[in-house]
Amino acid sequence: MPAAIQTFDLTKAYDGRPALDHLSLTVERGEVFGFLGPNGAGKSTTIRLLLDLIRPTEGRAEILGFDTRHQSHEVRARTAYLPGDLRLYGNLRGIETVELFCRLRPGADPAYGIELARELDLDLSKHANALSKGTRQKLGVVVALLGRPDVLLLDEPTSGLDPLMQHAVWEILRREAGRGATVFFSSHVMSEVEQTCERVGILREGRLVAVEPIAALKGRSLRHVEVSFAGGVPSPADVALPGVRELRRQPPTLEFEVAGELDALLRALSPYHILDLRTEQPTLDELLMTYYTGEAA
Amino acid sequence: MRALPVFRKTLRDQRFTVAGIGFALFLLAWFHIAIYPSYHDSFSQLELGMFEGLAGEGGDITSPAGFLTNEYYSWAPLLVVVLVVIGATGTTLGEESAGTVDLLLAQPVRRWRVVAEKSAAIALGALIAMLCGWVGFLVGKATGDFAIGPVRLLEGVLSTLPLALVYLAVALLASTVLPSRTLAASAAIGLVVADYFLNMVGALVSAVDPWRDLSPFYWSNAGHYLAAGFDWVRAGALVALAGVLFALAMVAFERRDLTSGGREWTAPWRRRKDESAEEADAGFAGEVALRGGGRHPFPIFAKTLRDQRFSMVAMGFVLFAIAILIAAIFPTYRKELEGIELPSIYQGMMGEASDISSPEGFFGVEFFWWVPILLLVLAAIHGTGAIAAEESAGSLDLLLAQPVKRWRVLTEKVAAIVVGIAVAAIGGWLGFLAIGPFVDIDLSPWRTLAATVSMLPLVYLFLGIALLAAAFFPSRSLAAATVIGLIVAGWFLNSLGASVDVLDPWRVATPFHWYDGGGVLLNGIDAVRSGAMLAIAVALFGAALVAFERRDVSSTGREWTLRRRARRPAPPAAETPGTRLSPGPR
Repeated sequence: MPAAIQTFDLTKAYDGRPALDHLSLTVERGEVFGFLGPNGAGKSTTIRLLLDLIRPTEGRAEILGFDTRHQSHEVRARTAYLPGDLRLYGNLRGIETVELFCRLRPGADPAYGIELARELDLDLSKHANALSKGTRQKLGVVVALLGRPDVLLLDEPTSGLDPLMQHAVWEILRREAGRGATVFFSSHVMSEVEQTCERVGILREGRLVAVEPIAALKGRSLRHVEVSFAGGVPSPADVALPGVRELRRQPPTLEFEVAGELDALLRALSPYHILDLRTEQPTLDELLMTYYTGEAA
Repeated sequence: MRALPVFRKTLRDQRFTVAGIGFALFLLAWFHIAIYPSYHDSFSQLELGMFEGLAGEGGDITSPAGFLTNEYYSWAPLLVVVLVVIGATGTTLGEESAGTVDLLLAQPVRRWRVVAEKSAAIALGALIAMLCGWVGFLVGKATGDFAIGPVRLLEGVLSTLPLALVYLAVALLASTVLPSRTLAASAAIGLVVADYFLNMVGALVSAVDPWRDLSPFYWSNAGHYLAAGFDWVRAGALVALAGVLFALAMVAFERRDLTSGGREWTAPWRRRKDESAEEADAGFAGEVALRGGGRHPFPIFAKTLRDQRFSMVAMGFVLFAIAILIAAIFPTYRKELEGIELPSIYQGMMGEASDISSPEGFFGVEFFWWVPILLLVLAAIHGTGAIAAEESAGSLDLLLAQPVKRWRVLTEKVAAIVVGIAVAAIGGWLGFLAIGPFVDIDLSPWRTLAATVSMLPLVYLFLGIALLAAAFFPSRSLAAATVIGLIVAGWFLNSLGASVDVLDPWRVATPFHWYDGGGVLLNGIDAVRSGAMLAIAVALFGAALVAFERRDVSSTGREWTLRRRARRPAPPAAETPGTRLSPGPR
């Protein structure tokens, strides 16, 4: 069975400058995949390429085995989209917006839209241009989910929503994933990524710098270790170990930065009398910052 | 730091519109100076007493001042005023519906100052467009002979400025008091049209004449300025009126709430419908009635038709009014014009129906010769906006992310524009139909219908050009300006070519040459010509479809600048160890 999303060296350049640079990525069916990266990294470009709104300079992509360029109609019939910068028809009321998009998507049921609106406490009688940003976003979520799609491409889906509504939206998205839909979303909210994603892809300057399960990403992070000794401290040679970097030597305290497991360091320190040992793991935010700034090694 | 940032931005925003209107006025002015000698030769021998009113105080309509008043100044002020009204309704409601007003007024700048700077820029834009007309006069004078000097011509041109200021203030007031831009623009333009017709009809019908005192168009009559020089009293009175209206608009704007994203407004009849629906279902919108485009098998067609309903119906109403006016004055004209030998330029314009005292000739030249221009401008605006308007509004992304093919989106949108234009055109025919029982015109309604229908292939051909221009040009404004320029240039080339030998061979290159409304009134529709124009329109539409299928869609409108190359960022510097991208942990 083909993967939900698969890209093969997908590239988009503007005036010769790549906005997305040879992206090769596979997202399996039913997966909740977070797509992370700083502004301008190429997240929206990727999603718009997948929807055939813009055309690749090089490479290609498939959604559910359909070529996104040559079978875009089939792709869009199975895909939902929530743009990052959502613009709705200001002169249409919520209910008219729901009707319009139901007509454009065979099989979509306005009653389901009304049900979703009720769940999100969204008043469908108002014109879109009279809605607040958050309320507009709710309407965007409703429109995206109308056709019960197989793949959801969501560009910052909870942007502008209060925590309660973020929670409500994620409940709905989890339900969608529960029935087998694939959720591919970009986000800046790390707690949301941590709680909802199985895997994340990290983009920087148009290039994919990491694709990891969340757990592996955290496990791979650099740990800060501070050890206080009674009596002598280990010599630099004692702690010259792979993945260990001595940050500060101020006897009776030493500070290290450790990549991966602590086992080798603890074994090296075991002959010494340890008074205290403290470790700190960076948050996912800090970890991603290292990817964003190119400091991750 | 550069002063007046809002003023400068507004001036920049309207540059294409001002350039387009300015170009049209330039050509119109030049054209009139060019045709004056033959016009004078043909009309000076006739008794044209009834037309004296049209010349205002410029003398008789065969004198230079009377001629310009009756011909150039019957249209130029209207163009300038419409330009000003559209700009003025955008000053407050435009920014509000674009959602930028919050950010603008969150700066330490007073509301009145924002409105004042915007208004000043619009007034300056109008002045620039008017001066383009003056330059057209000067070019005409340089290449021919015309008895009015440059300074007096300038004074005539400036007669429109106080009028423009009055309607700028009217539109500003409407846009601060009324809840939607469409409503405000419709109200202001309705007032302009009413004033224009009041002044024109008052010039011909003595019973209406006293009411002209209420008409700003009357008090800014160019004939008076051309005959007696700039009238500071009249101009001052109009400017004072503009000042009062402007002050009222300022007060209203200072007092009201601002909305980000535009104000919500529902027509009273729809409000009643909504209230009854709510009463029927007091709960959540569970049983909200499906309506509008929702039930339609072609939802994009239905929505586009709905979006353009105001402009199309307004145009239909304008054509209705023009048809009634033209038909109403025809019997009087017929008596005055019987046996007249028209100058060659008019004969060229009239095509096969060359007797201006016949209904075919009269309606051919007074209605079917120039009314297509109005429909063409509508086609240019809607044609270039079919995709680009939605693209710059940012809603095209969501639309094209649905399982609907691009060709279908464009086809449904174009079909709605085609229907809308036909509805607007039919408005003119309804005017002829409505006045028919009251006026003795020996012309079958089927013939006027045929002539009305015969305008459509020409309009659709330019609609095709507009679609193609929008596909190829990177900005909608540029595409619209180009198409309107082509329309104006083609129209003048065809009209001037009728009497200027050197231009005559080129007339066949303009679609206007293949359109002859008067000829259709005489002989019925020429299926070959109309069919050929429709075939070209379809071919242009096909090319636009292909271009749209192939191109990228922008999420916020396409970026375009004359200085694009200069602004392109420098290529990245060679990678150094410090800037090298990290592949990340593997």
